[in-house]
Amino acid sequence: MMENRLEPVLTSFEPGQTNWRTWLEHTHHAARPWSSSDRPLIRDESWKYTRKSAFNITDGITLPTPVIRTAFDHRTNWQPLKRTRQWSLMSLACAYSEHADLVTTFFGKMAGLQTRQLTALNTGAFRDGIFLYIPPGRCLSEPIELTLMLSPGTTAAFPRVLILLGAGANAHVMERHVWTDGLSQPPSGVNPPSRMINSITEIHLGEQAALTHYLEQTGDPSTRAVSLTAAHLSTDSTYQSFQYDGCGFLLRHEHDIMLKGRGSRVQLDVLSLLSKGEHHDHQTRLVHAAPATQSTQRIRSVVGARATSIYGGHIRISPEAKGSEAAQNNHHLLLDSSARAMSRPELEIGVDDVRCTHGATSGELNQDTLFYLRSRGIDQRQARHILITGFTEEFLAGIPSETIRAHWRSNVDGILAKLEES
Amino acid sequence: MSTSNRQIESLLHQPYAAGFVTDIEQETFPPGLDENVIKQISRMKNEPDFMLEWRLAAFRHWLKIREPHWSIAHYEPIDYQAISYYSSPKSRKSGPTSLEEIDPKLLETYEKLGIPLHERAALAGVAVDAVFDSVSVATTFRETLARAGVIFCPISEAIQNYPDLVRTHLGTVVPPTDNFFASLNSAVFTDGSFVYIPKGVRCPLELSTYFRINAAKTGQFERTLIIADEGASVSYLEGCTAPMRDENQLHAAVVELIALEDAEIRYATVQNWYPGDESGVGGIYNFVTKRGECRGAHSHISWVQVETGSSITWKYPSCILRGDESVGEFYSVAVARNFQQADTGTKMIHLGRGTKSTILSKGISAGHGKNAYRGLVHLGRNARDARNYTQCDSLILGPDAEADTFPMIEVENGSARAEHEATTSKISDDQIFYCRQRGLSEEDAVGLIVNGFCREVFLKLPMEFAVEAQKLLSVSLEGAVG
Amino acid sequence: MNLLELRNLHVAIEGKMVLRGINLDVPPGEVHAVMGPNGSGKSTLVQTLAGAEPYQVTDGQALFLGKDLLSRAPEERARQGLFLAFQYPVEISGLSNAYFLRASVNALNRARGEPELDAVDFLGVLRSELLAMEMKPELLERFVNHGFSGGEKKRNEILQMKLLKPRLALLDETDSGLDIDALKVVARGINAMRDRERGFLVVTHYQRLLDYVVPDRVHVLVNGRIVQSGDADLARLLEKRGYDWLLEPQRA
Repeated sequence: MMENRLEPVLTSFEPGQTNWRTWLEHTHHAARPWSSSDRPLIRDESWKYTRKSAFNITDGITLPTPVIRTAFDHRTNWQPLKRTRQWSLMSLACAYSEHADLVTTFFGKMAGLQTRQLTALNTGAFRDGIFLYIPPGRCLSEPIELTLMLSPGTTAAFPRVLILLGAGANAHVMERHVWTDGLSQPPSGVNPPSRMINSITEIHLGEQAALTHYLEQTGDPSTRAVSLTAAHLSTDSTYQSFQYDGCGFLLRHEHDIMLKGRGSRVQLDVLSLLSKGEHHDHQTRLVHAAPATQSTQRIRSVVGARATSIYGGHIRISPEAKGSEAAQNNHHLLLDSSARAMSRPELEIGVDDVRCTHGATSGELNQDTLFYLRSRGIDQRQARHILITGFTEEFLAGIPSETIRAHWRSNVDGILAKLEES
Repeated sequence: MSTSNRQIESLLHQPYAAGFVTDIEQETFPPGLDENVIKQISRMKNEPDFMLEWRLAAFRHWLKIREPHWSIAHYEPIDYQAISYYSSPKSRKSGPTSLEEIDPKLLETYEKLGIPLHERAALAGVAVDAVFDSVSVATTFRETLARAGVIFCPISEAIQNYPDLVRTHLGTVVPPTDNFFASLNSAVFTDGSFVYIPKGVRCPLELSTYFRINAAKTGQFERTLIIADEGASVSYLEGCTAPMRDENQLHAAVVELIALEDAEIRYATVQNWYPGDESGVGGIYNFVTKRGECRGAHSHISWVQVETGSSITWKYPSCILRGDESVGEFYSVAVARNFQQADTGTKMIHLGRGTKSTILSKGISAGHGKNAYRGLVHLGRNARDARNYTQCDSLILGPDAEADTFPMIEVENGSARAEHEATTSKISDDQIFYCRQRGLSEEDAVGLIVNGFCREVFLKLPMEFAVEAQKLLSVSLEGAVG
Repeated sequence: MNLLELRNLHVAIEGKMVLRGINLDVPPGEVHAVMGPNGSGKSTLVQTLAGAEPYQVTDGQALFLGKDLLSRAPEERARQGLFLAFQYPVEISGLSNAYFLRASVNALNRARGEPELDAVDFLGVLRSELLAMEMKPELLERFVNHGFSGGEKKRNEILQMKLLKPRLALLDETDSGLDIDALKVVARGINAMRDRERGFLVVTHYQRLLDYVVPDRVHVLVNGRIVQSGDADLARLLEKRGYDWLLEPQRA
């Protein structure tokens, strides 16, 4: 929908003051010991089905081109840098001079170096990033769109986003990752992806803050992308995340959510469409660390021929988290006998006063339902279409923003049409 | 403390009924393990050469690998040289041939455990093989079974009498190199049961093996091999107990099941090894490899386990569904109370077309107990139209208990289907009050809820044992709910 | 002899006084309604009588069938014939409804020295009661109250009352959340149980249920005290005038 309207706003970030450079160097330096692949890290079972070495790259850097706009359905409203009383949106370098305390307090706090080698690799290599700050009590009625694109010729990129909501703040943010080279056709032959993106978005929500976060990832066959969304939730805050992965040869996304404050809530909804030969890997790690916290996760994928869909979900309920509730659901819909799906829905529960459920299904369309529709005169092809659409609608119908719902729905329809043909 | 917690506490302090020691003269190897010990075991058992070579190969492999530590259990390192690898009651002859020759103290031991070995007193329709430390002391109803062509004997005897049957099948489901504990077992196993059901025979009796650890500072390494030939069927049950001791004792068994075309094997375990005391001292380390292979089409293997004992359980009875349309089942109740740690579950490996599996796991954690379900469902590339259904429920009794679920589901054929559901619950004060208002005592209320929780699994046990399991569970959990 | 006698009953929850001196007699064969605005202590009264833990009796006494009630465990009260239909029936997953009902009936039979019912006999008894309550048979196979609708839960309570045959039934807001058809079924269940021996204490906020279950006495509970008692007409008066006119003299 928006491809033709994208205009680069910041071709590169303005360099900040010298102390930004010093801070950046310090940060790189701090990350280095953790980014070494020689380091005997704990064996991470979450990489069982995806080759981690594909992302173990530290050089060949070109910065992504961030495109930032607000009210993404109104072209005229976007602005490169925005500093109003309502909110601030700028490069990390600028933020380092204007909101030094915020940057130094929160940068790297949600995405810890020790726990994830790829975080260390990103932190040791990033040059700048996007900083969004909504001060306490501010409510944004218009959604903000952050679009990250690659400059032509990029071989590796390490995007970084820091989103901070003060106490009682409320915002909608659409984060688009457009990892394409403008190629509409996959390159011929079976060349391995030639570009690597390792991105991190850190989110901190103050007390009673509410963030609705949309994430859209688009890649092409020359791209492999790994991304992390790491969020900390304070008391009574709410984090809602809708993620749509329409296209991407090799995508892996990880959610690290820490429910730190009493009564905080998180909802994760993911829809992943895998066309022929694609490989999407979703990992969610949730820690319920405070009483009366709630989480709901629904991870869905539609898997085409020779594609592999992976989900790993880990929920930890710590002994402090009395009265918490966690529900996790994972459904892989397999459209072809050569499609593959892996699920690892894990629960670790350290207290009795909780309600936890998880469910996972992997399989083809329900044959009974299919038969029922056909017995009512609907042909096989249409019956399949109805059922597949029903599956994706479960995700789409829950999206609060009408604009985004419509945008994603048309995108889903396009991809499904191709998937169903094959 | 809430009433339900009090109830749980009192349940938790029930004594372990099978904790006595039999005072009997035993012949026990000094602690330690090397090739000489293995040669000695093989000699004591009068084994043919191929067995000794098999054992030594397993031992040499074992020396090269390390003990696994990925489970949730934490324990002090095991000193394998401090364990004695053979212990048996002294007897006049090499093996008992009739009950008259068995030391009366042994008969008394089994009597006390509720397993009378005199056929006239035995449970109707159940044949028992009684294994005491490293040897089988009695096998009942052998003649009845022999008339049906069924072989049911100690495996040490089978190795001498049916070397070809053993040689062709032993280690084909759990190879000696399978894992650390399986390798150790292959090197040093001393006894266990052997079952062969010929073609088309439905075994006329329930078969049962009763394992007893008695001697101190010994490990028990039993090996069981069950073969159901084409169209045969058998139902088998094992029970386990041990005396109360401050030390931890190692039990590393291997069980292999082989089901040929149209054959059916039901294998049930009521595991009540000594679980250690209230503060977690002592108890059995139950590190067991159990696996069945549905080798032929339409074959069926079903595992049922009620795990209430052991200080640590590390056990994943699994099915390899190789034959087309074969069926695997796993029904489990596992209890971890006091400081028990249970890491258990199953693997269902679907290789054949139209294979089906069902997993039903009920975990109960109480006190400081830790209970984990760990499972793998693999629907392989050629497993067209394969199906799995998994249900994993945890009941957490008390604020210090822990319940984990680690399932892994791999679907490599798009026409296959896997479904997994898991829930976690507790018994709330509201539920207890509601039951009491309906006239039930606190104890009954807890028992009712716990039994309701486990009911579907108990229904899968042979009738006689369902009652025993239910009793065991209520003893094990008496006072344990919150 | 009265079924229930309450004398100067004072009850606190978490240190806060909720009932401040209740005096009430329920003779055999009578239906007494306790009405009152939200927070007046209606539910506290019946929960206390059933023996719920969070409520502390700080003063006064309660006699059931002439004997002290308050010192007894909840299950003893139940076995002596005291039944509480819960306002919020508790869900017990993992335990089938039929199994629970039989365990409960047999616990009471044992206490009365009557023979216990086996599964087959019990099912016979159950079937006819189930039909009378217009409940779906599959509700027996489901877990106790698990996934039941509000109306199904309330019917399940009355079903239990009919099976347990109490001397005194306490009904806590049994009418709340019921549509008119369900209300009629529930009322029919209660009326079928009325006889010369049995008593009822019906707690309700609205007059609705009392149109179908006509009470012998109506008590108005305000601020933890009974401020007015009368016959069935009092309930109709309350329906018309609300509770405010009764609140005034309280404040004075």
